[in-house]
Order: sequence, then C-alpha cells, then structure tokens
Amino acid sequence: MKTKIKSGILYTLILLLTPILWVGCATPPPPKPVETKDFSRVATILVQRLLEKGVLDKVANPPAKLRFLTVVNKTIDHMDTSLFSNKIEVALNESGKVSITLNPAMGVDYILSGKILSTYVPTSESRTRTYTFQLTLTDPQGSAVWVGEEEFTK
Amino acid sequence: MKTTRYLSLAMPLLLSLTACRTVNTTQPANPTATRQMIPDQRITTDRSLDFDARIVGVNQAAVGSGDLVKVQVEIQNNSRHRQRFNYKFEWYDQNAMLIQAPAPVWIPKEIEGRETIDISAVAPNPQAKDFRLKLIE
Repeated sequence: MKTKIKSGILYTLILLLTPILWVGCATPPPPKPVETKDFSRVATILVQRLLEKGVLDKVANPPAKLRFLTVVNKTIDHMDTSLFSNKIEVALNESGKVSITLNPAMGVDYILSGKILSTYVPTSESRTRTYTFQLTLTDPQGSAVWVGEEEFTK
Repeated sequence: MKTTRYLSLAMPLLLSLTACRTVNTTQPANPTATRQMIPDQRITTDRSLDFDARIVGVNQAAVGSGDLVKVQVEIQNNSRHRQRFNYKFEWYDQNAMLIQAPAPVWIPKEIEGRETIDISAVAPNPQAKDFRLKLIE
C-alpha cells in the first residue's frame, strides 16, 4: 500500500514538473518585428499629446507652417520609417492645425523631427526589444518647444 | 491514494494563487481637482472583460487652445489577476459621422489585479464632438 502511495506521489510530481522543465529548456522566441499597426498606434498617441499641449495654436497666422524632417532609425532593425512619418503627417494634417511644407526655403513656424531607438535585454525567459519613438518640435531658432516619447516592447 | 489525489488537486491551486498580484492604492481623500464626469451609455457583450476591466466613469475636458475634446476613462480591475485588453476610441463629428482619418487604432493595455487606471484620448480635430470607446480582450 505504502509503495503504491509513493509511486502515486512520484507520478503526480513528474506530471506537474515536466511542463516546467520543458519551458526552462526551450529557446526563447526571437523578438517580433515592428509592424505597421505599431507605427499607427505610436503616431496616434504622439500626435494626440502634441495637439493636447496646444503649441501649434501659438502662431501669429494659423495654421502653423511646419516642416517635417526625417525620422532617424537608430535601431539595428531595418524599418521603413516613411511609414511612421506618413502616419504622423496624416494625423497632423487632419487636425487642421498645421500646413506641412516640403520647401526648405519657405519660412516655417516649426520643424518636426523624429528618432527611433531600441534596447535589447535578453533573458532566459524572453528575448524582447524595447523601442522608443521620439518626436521633437523646434522653432526656427532651434529651441525645442515640445518633445514627445512613446515606448513599447516587442 | 487519498494523499495523491489531494496533492494533485492542491498543487495547481497553489500555483494559481502565487500568480495573483494585486495593487494597493492611496490618494487624497479630498482631491483638489474636480472632474467633469459625463453620463455614458454602455453595451456589454463580454461579461468577463466587464468584470476584469470595468469602466468606472468618464470625464471630459477641453484641451489645446480649448477647441479639442479630451476624454479620460477610469477603468478598474475587480479580479485578483492581471488582465490584458485592447481599447480604441472612435470619434464622430456633429452630424454623428465617423471621422476616418487618422484611422482609429487598437491600443494594448495591461491592468494589474484590483488596480484602477485611466485611459485617455484627444480628439483628432476640432470637428470631433462625440466619441465611442471599444474594449476587447
């Protein structure tokens, strides 16, 4: 009877521990790449923050004339940053608060630029990467009037 | 044999209990800020999500130069476990037409056990007058 109980306990323990051991041995999956929906989400959040601040309304002749410089990808991943820039441009344009100009010779009220950074911390459980999207709005004299940042982990 | 049965029942229960983590909160009893709460209308199709991410209240304010609506929704997790959900704000103009650009996006969010959080959104333009908030697990 005692042997039966002992083998029963052993059997239960093996059943419970096996999945834990499997998880421990498995190689963590690689980080997922940044997708278009991530760009959309971050662009929406950052533009909302910019609009909320009301800095675009503080110009003599609205809508504010804005020049959008490039978004620099400082990560090791290949990313088409124009997808992100386009989302920002669409959201800003739809707000009715800016007029985006591509001509550098034209006088502008603000200059918008962006940066994408990433940090990678691999652990035994996961291999995740944290992305930081930064947008900086500067006046023509080069003073930053607004800085926005949004992070997410993949 | 009974011992084995108890053990096999107790182990998963213990494991599930250790997974729970709840949040303790402190805030002023008499807050300085006054919230402009608005009456809301709800349609609940997922009762489980409504328990794990319940909408407590909605308040609204004018932001920017006063021409943009900002909505803040207080959400409470009534369970003891962490809950992941996605939310999306859709905006409508004064004729109740959906504002399509920029396209509304799902935003993922996490709420710990017994935690209360606020999610917010700013109208995409001054024409946006009303909103609809959608939550999905």
